[in-house]
Amino acid sequence: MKKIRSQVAVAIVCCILGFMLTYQFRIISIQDTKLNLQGDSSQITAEVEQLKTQKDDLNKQINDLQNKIKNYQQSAANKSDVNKQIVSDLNNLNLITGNTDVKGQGLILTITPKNNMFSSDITAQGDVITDKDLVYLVNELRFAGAEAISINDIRVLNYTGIKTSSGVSNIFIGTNDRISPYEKIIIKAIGDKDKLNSAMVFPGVLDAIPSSSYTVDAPEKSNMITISKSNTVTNFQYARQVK
Amino acid sequence: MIAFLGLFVGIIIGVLWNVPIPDQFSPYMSVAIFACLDSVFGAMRASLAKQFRADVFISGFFGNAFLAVALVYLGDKLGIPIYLAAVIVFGSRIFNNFAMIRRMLLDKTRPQI
Repeated sequence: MKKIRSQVAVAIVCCILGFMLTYQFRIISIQDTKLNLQGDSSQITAEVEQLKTQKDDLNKQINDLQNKIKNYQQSAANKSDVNKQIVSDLNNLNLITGNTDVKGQGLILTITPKNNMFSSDITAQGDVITDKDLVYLVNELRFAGAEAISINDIRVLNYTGIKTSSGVSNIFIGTNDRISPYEKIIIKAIGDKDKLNSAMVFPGVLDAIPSSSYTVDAPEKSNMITISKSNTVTNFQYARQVK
Repeated sequence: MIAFLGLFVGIIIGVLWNVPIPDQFSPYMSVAIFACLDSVFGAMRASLAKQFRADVFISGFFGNAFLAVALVYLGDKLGIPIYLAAVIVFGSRIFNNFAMIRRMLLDKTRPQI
């Protein structure tokens, strides 16, 4: 009697073991398929690389085509005075819309993240540069008469929005380009360098940058700054001229 | 014999019955399975040595599994991978038990001199 009971108990225990084994196998296989659905990260990295090179190629093509246009304009301008006038107007407009590289005197502002001794990363949300800080600085520069502004060589135009994304891990400058708030940020502005400088060193202006996690160098006045053209295409979809 | 029958029934239940156990219990399950396997090997050795006692087996089966799961949970909370300790101990014990089973079986089949 006792033997039968113990054998039944052993059978039940083995039954539980078998159940657990199969169940675990099933969960693991389900998890594997889920991982496969999410896609291989190396594949995504490769894709990103591919798209990056594609983007570079296309940018090169844009540059080539713009050079061609310039040549055409030049040759057209040589023909008559009216054309010359039109081309100079066009160049002026290109300056305003950010379609050409520009150079001139101005100011360079360098913001460097501090290397914290205890944690390599800036963790506290309040200590990270956000869109608001950058927008504030850009606005100050504009008010001081900056004619062209770039952040990490990304041209900031009238239509360029600046927005923090993915928590605080990225700051988008426009819809195409983004910078990391955990790396060096260089803001360049072309304009009257003394005016720009006094706007930046005005008490309180640079306090916008969280001083606990960033060092801001004294604004560097320069006689020759080059700001590259914007790589976005501005086409008005909605605004039309009132006739 | 009856043990294999039970194992078989358990596998069938596992395949057919879709019990909703949350995903986050899966690491605990694997450690528990390891502990149970250790108990089963111990039981096989004991039965070959004719020392098998069902109560020892069953209490060991559940006790080991429970302790292993508790250790893994504690390790999770403390941030130490204690499950490694469970895996190493149970692993080495499984191998020990297997070695003894092997020896006993070989002794049995060896022609008497």
